[in-house]
Amino acid sequence: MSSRKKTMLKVIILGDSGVGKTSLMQQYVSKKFSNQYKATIGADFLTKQDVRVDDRTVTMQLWDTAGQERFQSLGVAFYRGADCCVLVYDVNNAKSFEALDSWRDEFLIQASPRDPESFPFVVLGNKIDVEESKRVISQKRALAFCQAKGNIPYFETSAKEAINVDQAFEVIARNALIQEESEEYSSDFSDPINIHLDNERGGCEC
Amino acid sequence: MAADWRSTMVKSIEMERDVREMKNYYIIDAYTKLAERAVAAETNSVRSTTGAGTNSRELARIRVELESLYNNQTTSKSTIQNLEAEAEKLKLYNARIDAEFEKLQLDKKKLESQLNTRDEEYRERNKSIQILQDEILTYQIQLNVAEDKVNKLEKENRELVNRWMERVSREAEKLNDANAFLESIDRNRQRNREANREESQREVTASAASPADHKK
Repeated sequence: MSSRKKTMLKVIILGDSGVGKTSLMQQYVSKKFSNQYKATIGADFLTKQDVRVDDRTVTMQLWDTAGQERFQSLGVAFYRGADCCVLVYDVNNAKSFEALDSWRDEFLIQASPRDPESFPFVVLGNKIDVEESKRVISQKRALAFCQAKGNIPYFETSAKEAINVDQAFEVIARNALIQEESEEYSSDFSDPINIHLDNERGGCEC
Repeated sequence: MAADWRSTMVKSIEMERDVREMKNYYIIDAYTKLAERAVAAETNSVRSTTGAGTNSRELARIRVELESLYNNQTTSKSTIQNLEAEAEKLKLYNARIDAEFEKLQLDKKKLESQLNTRDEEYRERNKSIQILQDEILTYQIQLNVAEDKVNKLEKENRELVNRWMERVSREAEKLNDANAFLESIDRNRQRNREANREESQREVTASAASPADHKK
């Protein structure tokens, strides 16, 4: 299976309003950062091509959501077929950290992955460039949360200063790829076209 | 208010003056009577000296009457003195009342001027209130216009957000479809590759199994 060339990985980015989801995405894809806050309406889609994951080259399709409740009504279409879910919070905002659990639940309900237990999540604690005195969520607390949720990989990032962004997305891509391959494997099993093709081939042989 | 006060004052002064004059009238009356009697007595004495002779009894009576008149005069004098003292007191009282009246007049003038000033102030204040009310009305109208605008813009914004959401939703569906399509192409390619590989393997196996056929 791993020899098959995978072209697209769908990655969903979730988190409270203003935690820096769009900024992280922009930093990763365009290496750009803007101090100006513009709320995402509905969703934004960005593509990062030619991402190297070990011996593979993949394209990452990043689906950025609106954190503001009034702009969230996309529903199942948004989550369907996701290969990895990135949960973002602001280390200087306790509420955004406390909301991670409900964002994770929301994703699991809407996307209803085949195996919710093993579905890859990655948690990003953003805005670590802000002065230490303003920080309210310690790394220890965040790590404890990630461990409790099934050893979710955790990164502390700064979209503004490009800290840990590439490293985080590398792990996101790797985990998304693993997920994608496992999905493919299971879908191959139940693919009626495959059986049909085999039969066709078999028929020709005769 | 001021007119009431003045009439009360005048009335009370007139009453006091009447009392005083009535008292003086009694004295004047007594003096007049006394003078009349004195004149009558003098006339009688002249008549008695020039007349047919003096009547001793008449003389005695006149003396008694004179005595009584003297007494009366003394009493009247003391009454006059008392009344004069009273009059003096009343004069003083009157002067005091006058002074007080003057003072009250001044106060009244002052109050009237204050009242005028106050009236003027009230008029100015009323003008200001009127101006303010006009301004409030203007602002109210502006506020209503602004509220209408806000409502209109909110509605427009809501509609735009809804349209945008629908658009994003469609975009998401399209992307999902495109992903599924690419995936199916990829899968088909892979299957074709595998099928081709299997076929070529079969061909290789078949040619290896029957080399005689090839020779033919």
